[in-house]
Amino acid sequence: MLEVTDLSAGYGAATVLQDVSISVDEGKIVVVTGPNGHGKTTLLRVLSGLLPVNHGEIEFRGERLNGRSAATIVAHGLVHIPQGDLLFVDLTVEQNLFMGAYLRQAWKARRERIRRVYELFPRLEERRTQQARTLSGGERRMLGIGRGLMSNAKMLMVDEPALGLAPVLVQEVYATLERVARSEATVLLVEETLANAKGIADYVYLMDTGRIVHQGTMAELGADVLASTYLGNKEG
Amino acid sequence: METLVQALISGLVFGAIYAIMTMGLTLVYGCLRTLNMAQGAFGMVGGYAAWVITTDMGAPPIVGLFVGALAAAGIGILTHFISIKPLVGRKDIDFEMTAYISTLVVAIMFSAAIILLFGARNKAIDPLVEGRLHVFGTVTVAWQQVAVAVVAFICLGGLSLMLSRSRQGLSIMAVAQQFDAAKLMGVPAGRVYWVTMALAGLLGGIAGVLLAPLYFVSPSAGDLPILKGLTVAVVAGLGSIRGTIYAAFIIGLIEALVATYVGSLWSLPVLFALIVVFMIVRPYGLFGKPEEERL
Amino acid sequence: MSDMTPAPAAKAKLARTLNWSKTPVAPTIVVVIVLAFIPLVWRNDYIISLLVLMLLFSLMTQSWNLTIGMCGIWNFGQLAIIAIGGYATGLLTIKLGWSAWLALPVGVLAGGLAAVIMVLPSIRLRGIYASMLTFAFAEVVRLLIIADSSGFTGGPFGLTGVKGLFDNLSSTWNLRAYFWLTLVLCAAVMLLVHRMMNAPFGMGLVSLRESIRFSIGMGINRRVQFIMATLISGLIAGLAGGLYATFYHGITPSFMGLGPMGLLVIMVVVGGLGTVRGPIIGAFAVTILSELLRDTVMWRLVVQGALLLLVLAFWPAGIDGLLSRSLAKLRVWMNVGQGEAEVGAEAALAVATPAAPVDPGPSLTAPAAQPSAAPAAAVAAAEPPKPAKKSGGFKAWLNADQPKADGKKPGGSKGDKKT
Repeated sequence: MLEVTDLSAGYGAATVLQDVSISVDEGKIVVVTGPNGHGKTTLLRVLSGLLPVNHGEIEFRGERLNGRSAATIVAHGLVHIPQGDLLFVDLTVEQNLFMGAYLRQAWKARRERIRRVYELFPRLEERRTQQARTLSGGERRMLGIGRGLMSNAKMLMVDEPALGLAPVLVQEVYATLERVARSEATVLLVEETLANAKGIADYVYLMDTGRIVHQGTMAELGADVLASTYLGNKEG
Repeated sequence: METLVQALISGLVFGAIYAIMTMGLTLVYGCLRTLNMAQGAFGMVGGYAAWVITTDMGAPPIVGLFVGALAAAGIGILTHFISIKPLVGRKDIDFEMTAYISTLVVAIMFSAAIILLFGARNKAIDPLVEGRLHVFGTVTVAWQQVAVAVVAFICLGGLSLMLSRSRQGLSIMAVAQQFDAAKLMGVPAGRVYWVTMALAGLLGGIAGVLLAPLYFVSPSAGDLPILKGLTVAVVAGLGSIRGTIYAAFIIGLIEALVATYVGSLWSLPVLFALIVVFMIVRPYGLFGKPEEERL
Repeated sequence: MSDMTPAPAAKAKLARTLNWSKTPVAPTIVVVIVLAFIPLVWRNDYIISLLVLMLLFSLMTQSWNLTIGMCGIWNFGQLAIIAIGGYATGLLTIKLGWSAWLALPVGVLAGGLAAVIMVLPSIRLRGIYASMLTFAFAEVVRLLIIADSSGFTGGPFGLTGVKGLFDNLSSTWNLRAYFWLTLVLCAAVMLLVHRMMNAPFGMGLVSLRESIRFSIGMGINRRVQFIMATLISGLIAGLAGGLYATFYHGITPSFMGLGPMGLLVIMVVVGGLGTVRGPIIGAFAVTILSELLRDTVMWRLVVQGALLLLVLAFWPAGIDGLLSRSLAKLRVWMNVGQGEAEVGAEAALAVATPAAPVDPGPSLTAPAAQPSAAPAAAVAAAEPPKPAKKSGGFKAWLNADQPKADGKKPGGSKGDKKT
């Protein structure tokens, strides 16, 4: 569904991503992991059109997306759910959700879509007229994801869904993400703590200083990485 | 007692006009992070447009209101394209200050252009409605004041609905609150910007046409309004919609009371004192957020 | 923002001498002497009066520039300060019959006082708020004067009949005398400003306001400098106003209006904000432009405004910026053959970034710390997002999070590095 080939990008003169290639199949859950500050968020920002592409190709459902505007990319069904939620804090839950359906086609269907989202997140429905700023951490995360779903997204790119949440909530969020992936949209995740995602990840990419250094299924990775020189001679 | 009521009525009416006028400033600041010094000029141009349509071409005053509002909306869009858009996104300038100067200079240019087209003399314009209504004792209310209240109610109410329900309105709020996320939802920032400026123009124009019968239509008709608008904005907290409405009425009432009981000459220094006090004591206004750091 | 520890006396004295020699006193004097011949060579009264006007504007722009360049405050009440100087001078000659020569210094002082009063409250406010405050101050003063029906200030019609400095001379010699006086004063002010902006142990280039905000604890030094800069700016403004009032034998409140303020802004921005030469260049350029458009009075403002918008859009560093860049490029070009390309290139680079060697920091071109993100500067090309802390590198991360296939519990020998 998503094919990224030899992507290089960064901020102005500083190149952060180097020759990044990833591929996401429809209906799968793909995780990009690695330490903070090594380019994972940058990757998503390039994919969603917030940052320009220096070099490389981005293909989504057959369409070439590099260089297109953020709005166009969203219109194609590739939705970036940013780190830290970035909610419209003074708007209500419902208004936030409606904003997710900003694009004209989605807007017409917004009432049905919001019903779907409320099915997935009943707590949001309870709080629909409350200002987003009054929501708890977990609820905000739900709202962020729900907002992303409002736009007929075919693929969601979620940046650090576990950020700032207690372990119980992390599990809840990931359970929801799994449900979403199975029924609504393909999911590409950025997650610093791989342990969080290991239960649901179909495929994992490891990013180190802007490069993909390793990839594979969870099983492959478990065996591979231990054996690799990265661990040196610490464990067996 | 009756003087008091009269003053209160006047204060409320002016408060309503200030609310409409300052709302333009608020929206532009919230969305574009610009202090639009041309806001008063919008009203001035609106007044002239209304004058042309009514006094010059004989249309009824209500038409003047619509035409004035639309003309001012157009001016708002023009202002955006010549003085704000060229500055957006540039890293070689201090956007906030430069946009401030830019819009200020544009306001001056509009005045000059108006003098070119219409000459420098004041022009009189008829109010929307003539006559007064007797309430009790010596207290009377001009029908114009009632009309102003009605227009204000419709305007502010309509605006509130639009901002909270409509796609365009929500997108304006979204851009104001969380620019990055709005982009990620596919909101085209460029369009939101000029729509907001058009809206500011519209509101400014309405306020200008409402004020015109009282203060004449003149090239400098925008000077006092921008000053009052700034006062309201400072007291309210830049960018706060709710604050703008409250502050506008507070300022309107204070102004009316000072004018009635102390002397109209004093209302200006009092306004200024208010600005100073608020800037020092309560930097982000009554309803502003601490993130809008002043210091 | 390093504060200067007071140097030992001898060193300071040496530095002051050295510093003084950096200020181009000699060349300036030469230029002044040369220019002084103009009225004798070009015997056109109208041109001379125009030159006087340009020189007066130069004084005004320099005083405004001082406030923005050294104090970092956009004083939109500058014209009110100038006008206060003018009104003070004028009123003394009219109401008390003072000679203009006595009234003028009072006007100067009045300007200084007004400046300090007007600017001090803005000391801690962010850019636009300081502007709003000073703008409001000026508007209130102006509207109060207009509303004054007591005849004291002349109300909306202003003062008339202010005595001139050289009333006993013929009109031609009066013009010449004013020309020479303002020429000398303008040059003197320029030298003063140059000295102030470049003194290493003096006020320095830094926006004093920035350092005050962050180093209130660093004490008297910075704050005193700030007040001094404001005071001097006000004195110059008062001087300009007083001279204006005596030259034109009057002053009106429209002098303080938005129009003239806008003109001042245009002059300074077009000339080059925050530089030493900029205000003078701008004053001359814009006045010449006005003259060329003399017959189309009202188009003038529109054209001037358009000029400002264009400058902002394309050359925010103003004419002075353009000149500096061209000069630097010229230097590079000339030096390349002599192996001094490094020097030239550096100079060019230094100029290409907004702060040219002689120019202070805060200007239109310096992106001040913006607590609220300016539109569209937000995401795309801006700096990287608030840096996510690099958590100890790849290996540490690997150790912390990987499922241990060999069954050892996490939190083993390496410790659980929870990031």
